[in-house]
Amino acid sequence: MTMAILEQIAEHYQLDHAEWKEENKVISTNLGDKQVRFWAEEQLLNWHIEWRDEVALGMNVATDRMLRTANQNPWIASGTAYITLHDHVTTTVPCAGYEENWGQLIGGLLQTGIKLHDKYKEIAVKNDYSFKKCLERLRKYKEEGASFESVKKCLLEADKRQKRALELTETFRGIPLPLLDRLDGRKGKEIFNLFFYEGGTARPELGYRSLRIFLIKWLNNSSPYSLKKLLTCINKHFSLESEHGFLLLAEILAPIELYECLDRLQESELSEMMTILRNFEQDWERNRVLLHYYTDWLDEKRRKVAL
Amino acid sequence: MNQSKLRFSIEESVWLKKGQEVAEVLSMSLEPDIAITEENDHVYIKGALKLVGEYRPYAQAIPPVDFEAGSLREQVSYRSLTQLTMKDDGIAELEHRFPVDITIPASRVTDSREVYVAVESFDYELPNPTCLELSAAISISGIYEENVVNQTEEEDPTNEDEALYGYEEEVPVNEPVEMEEVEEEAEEVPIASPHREDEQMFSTFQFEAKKFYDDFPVEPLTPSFLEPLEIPERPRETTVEFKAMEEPARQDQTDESVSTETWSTLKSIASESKNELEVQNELPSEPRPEEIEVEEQETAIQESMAHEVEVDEEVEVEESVPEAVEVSGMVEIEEEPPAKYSELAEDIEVQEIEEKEHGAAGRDENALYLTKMLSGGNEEKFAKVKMYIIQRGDSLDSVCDKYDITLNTLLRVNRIKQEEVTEGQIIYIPVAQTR
Repeated sequence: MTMAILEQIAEHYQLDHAEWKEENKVISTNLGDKQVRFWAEEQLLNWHIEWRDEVALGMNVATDRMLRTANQNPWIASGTAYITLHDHVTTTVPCAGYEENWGQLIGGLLQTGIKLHDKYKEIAVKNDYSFKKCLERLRKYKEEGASFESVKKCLLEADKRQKRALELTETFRGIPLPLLDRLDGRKGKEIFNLFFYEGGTARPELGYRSLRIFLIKWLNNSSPYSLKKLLTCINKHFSLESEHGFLLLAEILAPIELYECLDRLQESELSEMMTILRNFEQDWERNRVLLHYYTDWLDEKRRKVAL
Repeated sequence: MNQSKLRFSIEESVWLKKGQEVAEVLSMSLEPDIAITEENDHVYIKGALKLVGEYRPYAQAIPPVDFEAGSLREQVSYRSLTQLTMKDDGIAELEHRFPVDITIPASRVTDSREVYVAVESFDYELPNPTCLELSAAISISGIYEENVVNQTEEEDPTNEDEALYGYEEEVPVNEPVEMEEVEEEAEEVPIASPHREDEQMFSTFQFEAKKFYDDFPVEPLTPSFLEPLEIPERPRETTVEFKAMEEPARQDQTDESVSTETWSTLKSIASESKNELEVQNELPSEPRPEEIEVEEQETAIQESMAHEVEVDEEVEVEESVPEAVEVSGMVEIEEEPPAKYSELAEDIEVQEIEEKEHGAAGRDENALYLTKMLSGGNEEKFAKVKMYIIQRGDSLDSVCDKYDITLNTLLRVNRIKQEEVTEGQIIYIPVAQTR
């Protein structure tokens, strides 16, 4: 089976030779190593093709675009699946020091995400958060004899956060949310001094959840100064000073970590619960710090405008 | 041995953050969380008084975010989990610690295990939903009267002298020593018999301090600085420094006739009092908001100061005067509230001296002060000189009006030639004895 795929790839992409370097993932060819991906859903594939092409246009960043076949097709059909070929880059780059590159990439992703919102919103994953669901789950745990102190004591504060987040989203209702591929800091790479971003294969996420998680991890791995610099670089390519910035703020305010914690508790064994609760406490705090620096950055921007 | 209790009261306000307002207090308690250790001849009582309570918070509406004005950061920030205490039935917990750090000499405690901290009374009020006002009475038992230790020392006759001369090391600085009270209590109380348990610790100290003054009522003493003002730079060997009488630019001829004799007399007195100064110099100094009454002979010191100051800065002025003459004098210490000083009131205890021939109508006020100071008589007289720092807008006329003295007097006392003064300049206001 895999040999047949290799032959198909070699034929369509006009390769002299192709052999598995990592089976079903990476092949070695006369044009260098290439990554192979398999897709089941055409609409999802189309979205991934389109955002990669869009982000790479006219920018100083490269994405792992779908290589074109001899017929200029971005994919080849193999039975019921689709196969795509991508450049394979292994040299990763850190966060700090690459704020310009990441800022340009994320700005491009946000712009593209809004551009493609209407076309692909049906395939997007929607993130719903319900405080009522949180309370129901907690009540259920209590009936079962479980007592999660750290979760219980944050309920009112989480409720306040949720209300604030809802208030912001209501204020900017009607503003389209971007469709984003799940951002991953480990996917930032470099080839010939060119910043290269390796996208994923998952469904697009509607909203800023992915960016929020990315920013928390960025802050963890770098510094508040680096975070603010990144925000400034993003802002150059996609304005965060207006409605989209407040929608991102709403996303950061929403107590997602509580909901995720309760979700995980439901499906975990007793031995894992302490770890889940500890992670929840850390996530709460990390998000609080991100909120602090993000709002600080927004305040600075607004002050400069006022002056 | 009589065991005593150290009592103190706490009156504190605990302010709650926005969002933590109290609708109803369900329970409140104050408990000591104290560790008692003994180390290096001291017993350390350290820890905190833990305020613990439960209350029902207000369910507050969240104000909308103001995008136009105000800090977003302040509007939307939320609390860390460590700051939150909330039960699932909507009851909030309050916890606050009041630190306690007390050090007691080990001689006051026979067994540190007997030292016990207790909350004798506790009450709280809620004047508004964000403020909790607490009042509590705390007692520490297991501390013995200090005089138990001192009695043993006073029975030894050799120690008595040491108590007099060496007491300065034991004199506490927490309690003011008033001369008037000193005299009364010295008659009535052979050993300190405090009226309140919490004064026991300091009463004997007071007694010994008073005794010192009783034994030296007449002879001029250098300043004892038992409870000095905030004058870190004041040299103890100097009470007041004066310009030498032999200054060239002097208007009043009568002064010159006094100057030579006065100078030599001053020098002789200064040398006599040197030994006493050395004793006094060993006294501990602790900053206290009190007046020091010093003896003064001449007040011809002029320095510019930046602004209205307290005694410490005036002392700096004195030190910079050239050809200063050390003069001994009696010292009185009065308790003074820590209020702002616009002038320094100084009581001068002078001795009558033989008056030299000064001349007639143009007798210099300074010379009069000098002669009084240098007289070797036993009779005591008091004269006062106030030190005044010129403020912005002041003039000599306004100062004269204020203190009801003539301009000529002021000019003579201060040896000022012209009527113009500058802000920060120090001048001396002579005060009549009847005042």
